[in-house]
Amino acid sequence: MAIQIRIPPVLRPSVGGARQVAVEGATLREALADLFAQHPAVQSQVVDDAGEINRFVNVYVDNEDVRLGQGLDTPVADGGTVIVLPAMAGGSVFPPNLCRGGGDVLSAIGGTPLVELPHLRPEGGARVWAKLEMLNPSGSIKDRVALSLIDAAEADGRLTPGSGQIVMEPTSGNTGIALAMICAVRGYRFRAVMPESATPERVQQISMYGAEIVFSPGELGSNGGVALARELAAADPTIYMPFQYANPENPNAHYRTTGPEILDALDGKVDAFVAGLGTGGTLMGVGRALREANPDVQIVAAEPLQGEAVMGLRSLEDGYTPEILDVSQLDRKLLVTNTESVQAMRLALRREGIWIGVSCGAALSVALRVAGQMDPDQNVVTVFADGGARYASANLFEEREGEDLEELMEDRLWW
Amino acid sequence: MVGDAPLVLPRALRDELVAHARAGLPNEACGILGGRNGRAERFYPAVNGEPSPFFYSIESRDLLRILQEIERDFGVDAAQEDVEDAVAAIYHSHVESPAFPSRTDVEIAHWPDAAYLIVGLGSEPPDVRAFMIRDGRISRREIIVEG
Repeated sequence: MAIQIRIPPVLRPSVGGARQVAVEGATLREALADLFAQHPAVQSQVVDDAGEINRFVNVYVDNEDVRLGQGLDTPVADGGTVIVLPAMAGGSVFPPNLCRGGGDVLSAIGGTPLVELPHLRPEGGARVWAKLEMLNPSGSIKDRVALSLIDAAEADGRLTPGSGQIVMEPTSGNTGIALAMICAVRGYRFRAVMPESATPERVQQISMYGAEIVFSPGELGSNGGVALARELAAADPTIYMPFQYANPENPNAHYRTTGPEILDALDGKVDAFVAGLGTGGTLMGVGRALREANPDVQIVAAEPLQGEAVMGLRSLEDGYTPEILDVSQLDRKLLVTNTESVQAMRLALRREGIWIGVSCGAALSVALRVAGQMDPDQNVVTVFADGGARYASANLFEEREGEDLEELMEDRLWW
Repeated sequence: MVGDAPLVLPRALRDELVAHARAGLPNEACGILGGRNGRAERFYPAVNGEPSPFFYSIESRDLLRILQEIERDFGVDAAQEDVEDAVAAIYHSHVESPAFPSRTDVEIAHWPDAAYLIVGLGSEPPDVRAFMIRDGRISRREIIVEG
């Protein structure tokens, strides 16, 4: 005789497809221990690190939920049956004390507020909303992407937490800072490849987390960093390079979190979404989520004028198109100049009290333009990918007499 | 995932769901729709074990009871079939937010073969939509309201 544990379909891949597994033991604890010894992969799906039954798994002995009785100490008779059922549960917004609390700093990623920008709304135009992504733990929207990249690599075994493996990524800033934070928490060494023209604040913040920095020639911009990182990764197979430009986990992060959060906040009523064109991850991922809720939504890319490498946003005319970017998913691309971007950034400070980064200025400028062409009952949403503190050394926030913004911004890389 | 056939939902069942969702206010309501081959045939209202305007969790004893009822009602042969074969949809309400899966919905969706049916009470008439949630990915599933 033995005890039969009934395995629900969702867990069967972890037990070689079996519908039930025969185990030995006198209590549920012993029966589960035998199950995990036979099928180690199923353990983390049923119990947590402390050995307690996961919150969203129900276990029944003799048709009784053990959580309401003796828990893991519930006796199981020989010939008895243990039923494992995933909970049927969910919610509408993330309760702050449920999954956001209790974890380490990475559990605070996402769930950022969406605020209205009433003081910048064009007269007669649509309402304008911005998602405050600078409130993520490392200060930018890239926390979402970096977490998704690392989680995926851990899930398929390329990375093992605490291993000290090297993670390397070409990044001129926000992704590097986010990866540096996550690698510090998860126990990896992080190496950032970035153009030497990146702002000192960014270089400093990445190194502060204990990461290494390899500089690529400033005049080659982001593309130069990408080329150098690929060379270095090819030379050392032990290095893991998530490569956000081609990794589907980049848009997926936004499809799973940023997009649904925006829909949640606006009851699904989003008429246009504007974001800067960097890797394309935000536009692709958020765009897909919004389009599923409303096929008529307009997905708008803010693109810098060709040759103005400045915004860190990508001009598609300048060469490299990220693999994850499918331009057919964009309804419009609107060009934005450096001057317009800085002016919008200053407006955000003076009228809305929000200190945003330069690329956010570009997105805001385009969002206001789009809102001006739309109706008052419509909603235009943009994301403020990072805060202005990261660009403080550039001295762009206060107007100076006779300044030439185009000249001031030359040779800098902002994204 | 592309390729999921539409979920067939008789109008009377749809109305029953909406009434149940309204009756559950201010909290989220939940339940299970029994049916085979993408056709919802019977509504099993469930107790929300963690009543809240922002959360639902079908009470654990109620969950087992309903699944066993479904096995009986739909003649699920336990030796060869799973009760999942007769679970057409898992339903819950969103009291204010739209009928779109929230992050919470996605993170704890462990029934990949059932449609997740959401009644959004934030609009009038309430929005009823179905989704498949697999491996953290959401795909819209069309609903055909019949009758």
